[in-house]
Formats: sequence, structure tokens, C-alpha cells
Amino acid sequence: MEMCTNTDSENGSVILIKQGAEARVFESVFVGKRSIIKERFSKKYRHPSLDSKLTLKRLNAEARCMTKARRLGVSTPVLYALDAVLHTLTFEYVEGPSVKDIFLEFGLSGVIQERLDDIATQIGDAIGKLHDGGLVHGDLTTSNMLIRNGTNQLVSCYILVN
Amino acid sequence: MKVFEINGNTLSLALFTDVTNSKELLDSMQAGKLDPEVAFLNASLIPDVFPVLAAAHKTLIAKSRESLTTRTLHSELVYNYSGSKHITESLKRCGISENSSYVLAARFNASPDEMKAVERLINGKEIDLEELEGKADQAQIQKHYKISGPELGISTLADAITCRIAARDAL
Repeated sequence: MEMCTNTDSENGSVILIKQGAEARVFESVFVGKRSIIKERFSKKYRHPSLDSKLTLKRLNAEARCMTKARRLGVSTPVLYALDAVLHTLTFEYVEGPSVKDIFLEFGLSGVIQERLDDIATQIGDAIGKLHDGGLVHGDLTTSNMLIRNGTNQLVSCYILVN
Repeated sequence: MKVFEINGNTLSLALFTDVTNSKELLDSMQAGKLDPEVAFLNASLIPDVFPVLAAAHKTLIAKSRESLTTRTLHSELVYNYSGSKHITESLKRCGISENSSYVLAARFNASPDEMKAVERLINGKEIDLEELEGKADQAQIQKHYKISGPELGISTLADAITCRIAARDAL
């Protein structure tokens, strides 16, 4: 069952932001708060019972990894809901630029050394904590890291691997 | 008393302190004689309304798929507020006990009259939901939800609870 066919049972406002090889990312609202819905889609080439088992397993693994990362002190978006039937994870929408965008900005208008140092330290710190806890990020790119607006806090998204 | 909208339904929440008749409430609840049907939550475990709303969202989805784990919609709300999958334990911890004096009452799709009836059922003083933060028992919350020190450094108590509520069935 894929999400697009029954979004309107909620408030109908689901907007596709990104599509990758494994999942689609939507923006929506969860009980009044802006949220991100990550939907893992089924691969039609797989046998259906294998497909649903795999997708569910990966969904649960992602939720577990995220919880473990938080316990280790790594900042991640807050998980709002998990839907085993629709294969979706609903997260907090973190407002703020991605580290990639910040670095691109540095490229255009000059590097702010202090900020660069702060971000780099936070990245190293987060990864160190993950590794100490036996977790591997799995998709370590600057587009998967956000700096929360109003703070200088680095938020790591999509930690996948146990 | 405040009403929240969730998925086309509403959830009415009212907070009470100095509650003296928890034993009676518990007894009527267990006898299934509570009228109107309402969920009683142990408010010391609630630092903010958001985790309750997340639990309510989960409850409504389960109801719409006819896959409630507990007997009623309202007992399901209490169960879903827990970080544990163990039903009896969750209902005991997150619900009220005989000597609970600090209670959050919750009812789905309640009319104003029904909420007035709920207020009459409870022998206590109604206070503003804003007081939840100040009266939450941090130690108890940390223990029940297994929230570590490092985690509190990067998150609020409410967010940590919300994550546990959402991920419970995956853990």
C-alpha cells in the first residue's frame, strides 16, 4: 500500500520534496507541527511477501537506530510516528540550512572560520559518538546534516545502519 | 480544558491536582461503568501535551484500522503513552492508581457537555495545561522511558518521550 492513494484522510497537505532510490520524502503537518514523512517504497520486482518483510525490517531498523543515536547524545530530528502499514516514518521538520548549503554559501561569499570550525567539530563529535556506540551513519553527506535555526546545533538525519 | 484537532477528530484534555477520589475512578473504570468514557493519565509523566497528542494520533490510526490492542479507544490512549509494549504494566504506570492525586483526563470527540460531566466525575482542582511542565516528575520519566543523560543534553524530555512513543513497536 503506498501513501499517495490515501493522504486525504489527514489534512491533505502532503508535498513531495525528494525522491531517492529507497524512499520518498514528503513535507506535511503532524498534529499542528510541520513534519517530514519518509516513505519507503516497495520494489515491484521483489516477491511481495519478501518485499513487505524487508521494507518493514528496514523501517524498524531505522527507528531503532535513531533512538539509539539519541541515547548516545547525537542530535537527530524527533520521531513523531511510525506507520508499519504505509511504511512511513514521520519526523520533526527541522528548520534550518543544511551543512551543504552553508558550505556552498562559504564558497560564494567567503568562509567564516569560526562557524566552519564549530560545524566541523560538531560533525566529528557526532560521528565519534555514533561509532563509540557501535552505529555507522550509512549515508554521511553534508546534505544529511542540518543546523537548527536559532541555535548552532547540528542535527543528523537518516541514520540508517546498525 | 483544551481541545486539540487530530486527523479530523478532536481530543479534549483537562488537568487536575489534589484529586481525592482516584480509587473510585479506578473502580468505575475497571468495572466499565465510567460514563462518559474517558482516559485518566498519570500527569507526573507528562511534561508537555505533545507526546499525548502523538499517542492519540497513534490510537486513532489503530482504531481506523480496527487494530486496537486494548479494549477501548481510551485505554488504548493510555497504553500508547507508554514506552513499553507490556499492556498491564503500561496501563498501571501511565494510568492512575488508587492514590493518584495529579491526573490528566482525556476524551476523544467530546462535546462540551461531556467534558463538563468529566469535570464533575473528578474530585479535584482543575488547573491550566501550562502547569504540566513545572509539575512533571523528571526522575520518574527518565526511569520509565530509559532516557540517558547525554540524550537530555540534545533534547527536551517531551521530545524524548515522543520518540519512544513513536518507535515503541519497532524496538
